Amino acid sequence: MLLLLLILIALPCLAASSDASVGIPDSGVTIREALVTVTFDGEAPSDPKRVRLPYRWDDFSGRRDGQARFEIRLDPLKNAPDGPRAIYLAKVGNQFEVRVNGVLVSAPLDSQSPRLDLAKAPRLVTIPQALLRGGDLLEITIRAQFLRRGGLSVIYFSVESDLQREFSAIYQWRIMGSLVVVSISAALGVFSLLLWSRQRVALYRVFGIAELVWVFRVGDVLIDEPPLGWPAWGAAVAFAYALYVGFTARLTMLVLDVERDWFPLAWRAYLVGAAATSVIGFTRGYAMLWTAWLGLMIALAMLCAGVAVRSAWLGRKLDQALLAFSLAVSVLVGIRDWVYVWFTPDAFGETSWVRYMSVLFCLTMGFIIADRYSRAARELRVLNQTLAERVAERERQLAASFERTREALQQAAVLAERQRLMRDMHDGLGSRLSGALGVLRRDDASSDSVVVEYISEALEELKLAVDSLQDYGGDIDTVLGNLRYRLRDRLKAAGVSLVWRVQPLPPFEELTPTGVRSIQHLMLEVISNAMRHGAATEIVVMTHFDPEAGCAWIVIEDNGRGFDPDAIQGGRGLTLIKQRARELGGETVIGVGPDGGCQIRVRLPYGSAEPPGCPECNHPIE
Amino acid sequence: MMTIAADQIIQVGLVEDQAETLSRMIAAVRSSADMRVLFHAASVAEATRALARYSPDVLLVDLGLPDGSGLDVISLASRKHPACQTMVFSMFGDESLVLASIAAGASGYLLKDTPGVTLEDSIRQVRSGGSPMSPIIARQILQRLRKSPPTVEPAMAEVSGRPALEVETPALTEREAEILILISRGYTYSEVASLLSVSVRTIQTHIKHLYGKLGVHSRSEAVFEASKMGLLRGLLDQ
Repeated sequence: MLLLLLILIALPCLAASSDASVGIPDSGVTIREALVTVTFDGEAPSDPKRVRLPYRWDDFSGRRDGQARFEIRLDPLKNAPDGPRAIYLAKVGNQFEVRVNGVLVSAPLDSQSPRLDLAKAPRLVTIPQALLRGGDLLEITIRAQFLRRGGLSVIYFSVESDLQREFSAIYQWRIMGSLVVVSISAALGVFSLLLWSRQRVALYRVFGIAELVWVFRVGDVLIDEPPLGWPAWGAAVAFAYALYVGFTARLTMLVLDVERDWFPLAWRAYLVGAAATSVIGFTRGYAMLWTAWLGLMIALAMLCAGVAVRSAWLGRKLDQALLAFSLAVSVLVGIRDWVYVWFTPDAFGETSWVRYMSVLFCLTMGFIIADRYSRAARELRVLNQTLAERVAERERQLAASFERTREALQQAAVLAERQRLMRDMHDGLGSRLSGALGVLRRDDASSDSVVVEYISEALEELKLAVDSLQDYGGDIDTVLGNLRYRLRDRLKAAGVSLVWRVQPLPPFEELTPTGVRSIQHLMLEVISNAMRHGAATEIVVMTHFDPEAGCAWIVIEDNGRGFDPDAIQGGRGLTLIKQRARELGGETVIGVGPDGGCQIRVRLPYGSAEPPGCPECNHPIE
Repeated sequence: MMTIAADQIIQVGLVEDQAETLSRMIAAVRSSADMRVLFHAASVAEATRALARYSPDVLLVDLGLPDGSGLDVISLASRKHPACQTMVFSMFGDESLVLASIAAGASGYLLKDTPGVTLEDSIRQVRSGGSPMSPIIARQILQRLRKSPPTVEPAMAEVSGRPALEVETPALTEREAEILILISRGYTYSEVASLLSVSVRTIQTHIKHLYGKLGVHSRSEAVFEASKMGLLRGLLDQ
């Protein structure tokens, strides 16, 4: 829609080009000759000389700035109605003043700044009828800067109202046309940069910058007094033009999706070349340097157009075809301008067409960018959807894998627990029951007491195994307490007294049934060692917690014979004790107690987590 | 020979479905001069009928009965004969069941296989104080009674238009907690008594109270749960 609207705006401007040149009204005259007196800056005035119009300052000035005074004899208009007369100047300047019979009819030259460039737009100067007496002297004085395309075009002299009509048509073509170009370029450029701010696509950025550069270049026509003086401004505008052509080439490659390794290097070389030729060309007055660069730019544009046409032919894509068409047209128009404006002497004051053709290119690019953006948005939507599906799929896979892992872990835990129970049954209960059975089978007279002992041991073993499955909530003291409770009668029968000094311990979070079993086995082993090997009659069991080291100590001392720890290191009992401690993540220190008996210290490190406060810990015991 | 006054003779009721065990129990009671078998039953139904007729001093209940749970017998006995001391006759390892029995009103338990401890001794023990308490049971009682006591929500009272239910929520006294902690750590009654500078007798009394409290606690929990579910509203409106 936007595209259509813009075309509708642009069309009348293009249509106006057909009658761009001024038709001479019947009543008017065209003046093609004048007597000129040239005064170069810092030099004396030359002798008056008869010249043909248009007069191009750049052709005669020899790189100098200066003034030229044109004297023209105005004959009265034939068959003309009464009313003010006027002269129409397609191009005059860069600054100028007009006098009729010595009377100033325009702004005086002295009041005009050298920055001012009045030659950019056509001028209509009204001459009051009262000043004309027949055979009048028209004096036009221009001040021109070299390379600024100053000078004087052919002069049309006629009735003001007639010329006004012609003037407005040309004014529209040159000024309004430029305004339209500037507006469209600015709008699309800003739009493209906005798109770029949302989607970092090089095409949007390059197009946006190119159009803004073009706005600068074409907008120059609309301002009479630029912010910079000549020739700096001339260099800037020329450089902008070169930039625009360069960007156009880059855009073409982006649209055609052609990318080469040497593009960045070529782009830098192009920028340097454009800057050098525009600056040197304008500030040093080497006009040919800039003209040559223009030729190179045309060659570049032709190359791009050629590549585009070829791609469009091969690819048969709408956007490529549109691009190829608009580029080809632009190049043709560019060549026409170059040849016509720069090399045809009579073309002074004619407008270059390229700037209007740029609208076509601009609209084409606008269409391509809108198309790509919407396509990208569509693709993004599809991509998002696919992504969401893939994430969901991955989530499902993860959940399934997690479930499998969990099941495997659970199975492993169940298996480990089952194996432990089987070992308990087999090693403890089973061996004692089969022992009892063996004794019974032998049918010995003394078997009864042995069988009773076997079965009591089996039962005790079973009780401890079942006890290990109770929920202790990590209370090692209760595990020890319960063990004592179970062993009470046996110890009493063996005549061993147990001195119990179990201090409160914080909960041991890692305590599992297996851990309980390890503590039980460790304690049983220590106690039976004390009884069997040490012949102890008193066993002291102590616990305490070392909050700084974050570990609990279980210390068992007996009053038995004791032993040399080094000598007995390999003993099976001690190995078992050490192994049980290791199962709990702890270690065992074996030594001699205060009474000369055996002392076994078991260190149980608590996990890295600080053990929570234990309310009973401060309770005084002993 | 020492004569025993008739009112000092402990009247024992036995509920046990295994004939052999039952006959051993009967024999054990009969061998003691200070107790006699008041009745014996082999099922919940029989026990219910017997409890309707007799009022035993001590009731021994096996939990696994052919027509139901011994827990029903315990709660019936504690309702009908509050003075009756009920004892659970259980296998070792059934600590959770023991706790449930106490909650139902039992004041002690006897493990079937405890060596060196006779049935008669246990009966006398429960009569005089309470059953021995194992460290595991002490720990469990500690945990149960330490939980924040249940209270009736004020909103409930508004809905029913009556003052909030007076629920007896026994909390552990400091001394009771100390005793339970020491027992759970493996100390014997006499060690606890000396550590706390009291007599063993005092400890036994505390233990008896604790068993009682557990029962009350469980009942108040039940009331609380019931009131939360709205089961009591109908009762209150009557």
